[in-house]
Amino acid sequence: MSVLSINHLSMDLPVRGGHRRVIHEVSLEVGEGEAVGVVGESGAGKSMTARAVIRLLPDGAITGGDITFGETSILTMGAAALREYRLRDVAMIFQDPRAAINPVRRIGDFLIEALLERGDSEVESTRVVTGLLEAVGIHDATRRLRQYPHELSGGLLQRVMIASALAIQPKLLLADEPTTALDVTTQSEVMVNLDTQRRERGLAMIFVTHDLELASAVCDRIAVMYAGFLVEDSPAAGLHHDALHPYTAALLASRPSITAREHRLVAIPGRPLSAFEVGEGCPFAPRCPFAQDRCRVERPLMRTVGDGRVACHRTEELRGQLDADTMRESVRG
Amino acid sequence: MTSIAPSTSAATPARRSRSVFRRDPVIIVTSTIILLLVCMAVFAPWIAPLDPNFANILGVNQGPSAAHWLGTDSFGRDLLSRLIYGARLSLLGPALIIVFSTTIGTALAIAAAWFGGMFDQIVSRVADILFAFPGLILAMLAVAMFGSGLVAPVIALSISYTPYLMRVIRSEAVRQRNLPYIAACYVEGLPARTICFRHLLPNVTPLLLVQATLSFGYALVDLAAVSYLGLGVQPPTSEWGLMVSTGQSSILAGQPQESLYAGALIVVTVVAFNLLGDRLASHQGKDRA
Repeated sequence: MSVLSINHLSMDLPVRGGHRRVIHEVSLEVGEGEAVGVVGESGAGKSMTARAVIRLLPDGAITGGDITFGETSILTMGAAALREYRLRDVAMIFQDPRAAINPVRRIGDFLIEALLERGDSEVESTRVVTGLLEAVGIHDATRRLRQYPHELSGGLLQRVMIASALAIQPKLLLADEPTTALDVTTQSEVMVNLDTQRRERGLAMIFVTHDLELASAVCDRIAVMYAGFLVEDSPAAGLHHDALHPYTAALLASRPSITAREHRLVAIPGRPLSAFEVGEGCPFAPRCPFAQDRCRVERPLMRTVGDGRVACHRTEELRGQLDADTMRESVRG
Repeated sequence: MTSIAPSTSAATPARRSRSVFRRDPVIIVTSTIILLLVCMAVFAPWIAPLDPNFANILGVNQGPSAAHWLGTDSFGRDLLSRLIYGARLSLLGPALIIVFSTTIGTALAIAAAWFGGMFDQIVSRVADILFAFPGLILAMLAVAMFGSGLVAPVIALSISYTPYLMRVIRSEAVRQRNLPYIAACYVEGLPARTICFRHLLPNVTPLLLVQATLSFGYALVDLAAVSYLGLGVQPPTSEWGLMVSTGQSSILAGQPQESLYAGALIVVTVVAFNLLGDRLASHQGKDRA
């Protein structure tokens, strides 16, 4: 049973003199307690997809398709229902905790605010958030509650943000690059913490990142986006040796290997396209080493292959060829 | 496991601003002057040596003496007592103007930032139109309609100060509104009222205080001008602007003290408020950077 289902979501954003498409017909399911990693380059539409789930959209955004949470349709619900949904069902962890927490209010006020809004008592809310701060690895919780955001380090502040997301006991967690703004050494601690808490509570999560490694470590499934398209949706476990889409394979191949000595890092030729630049064919065709004429004129649709789904005409033919070494060769060549 | 935060040594915003206050001599001096002036107004009956309205026709236009430290005016009233009592209306007037115009200005500014679009456009354009109206002219118009006194000029000047405060605060509110922490508030499902009052308002408050302080000086000058023109508080009530005006006739007689002292008090008060506002603004700028 899925907690959330995104059906043919598309989004256009206003630009001077018109609109530009940023998301093309994305369909994605998130099962109960399942973590889905959404990966892709900057501008691939991954953040926008996550934001659409909580309807935190830029002014003037036009959405198509449908997002349903349980029985309710997110994109069409009224203001009161939307507030209830945000207050109880879904929580978001932002990229930069320093920007996403009001600087002039105490940590405690920030944490209990949503709980008070739901009608919980102050004493009870404080007890809950104190427990949560300890759960996310902040030891002197009582003291921290009285402090201001600038007195905490980035890592601690992100834990506070995680605690605030957990406080409302949501069914779905949206994490938009929660560790990108952090120091490398604190990244892993915060990530481990988030992962543990999520698993303990059986929360579903959409995890937006451009770190494919990280996503496959903490997620059950990986959704790969490119230029506003969802190109692959596969179990995280098999992704490394059995990528379905050449883009996923190319991403995997461009990581430096720990064991082999590299003279030069492999890069995907060309530049990432913006969603609105995509022509009629496959969005990745201009950069794909396996592209054929068909790929350039006919847009591949999402279809089920094995355990995953992929939008590529040549998946079956290419299976077995998409391992890192072959990819490196073909990308170099 | 736990990352170490340098939290024990860091100060809270309140503590930090207090230390800024302690270190900046300009802030210390100006706020002390303002505090003294306010005390003077509040405790006038206890401080003033004589009844400010007691006229002694036998001792008009006297110079400083043991009985009258600053001398007497053309009715033989004690100048020191009149100046001390005069602080009451001279400070109350601008204070009311600032309270009214910041309250209305901030409410409109936050509403404009929050709703944006058409509402913002309308509020901003109406403010632009009000800018074209000099405050003094509006005050004179109000006096002509409602009669002289403190009320009419205060209302008129409150109206003409509102757009100034509104415009400055609106720009900051718009900036703050687009920061991620406000988005985080939406996502928490907080209602608009909570976001505006508990999140936006505290974040524009520093700017609000600076603007209110600076505007206080201007409001005092404007109100003194209204009184000087005879449109504000009426004699025999003492008020600094009025005293500058009534003292004029004695200047040619070689007795400039009434106008001089009242004018000097106006200048000192205005300069103190402006310097304080200016320093607060520059400290705020440093905090931002």
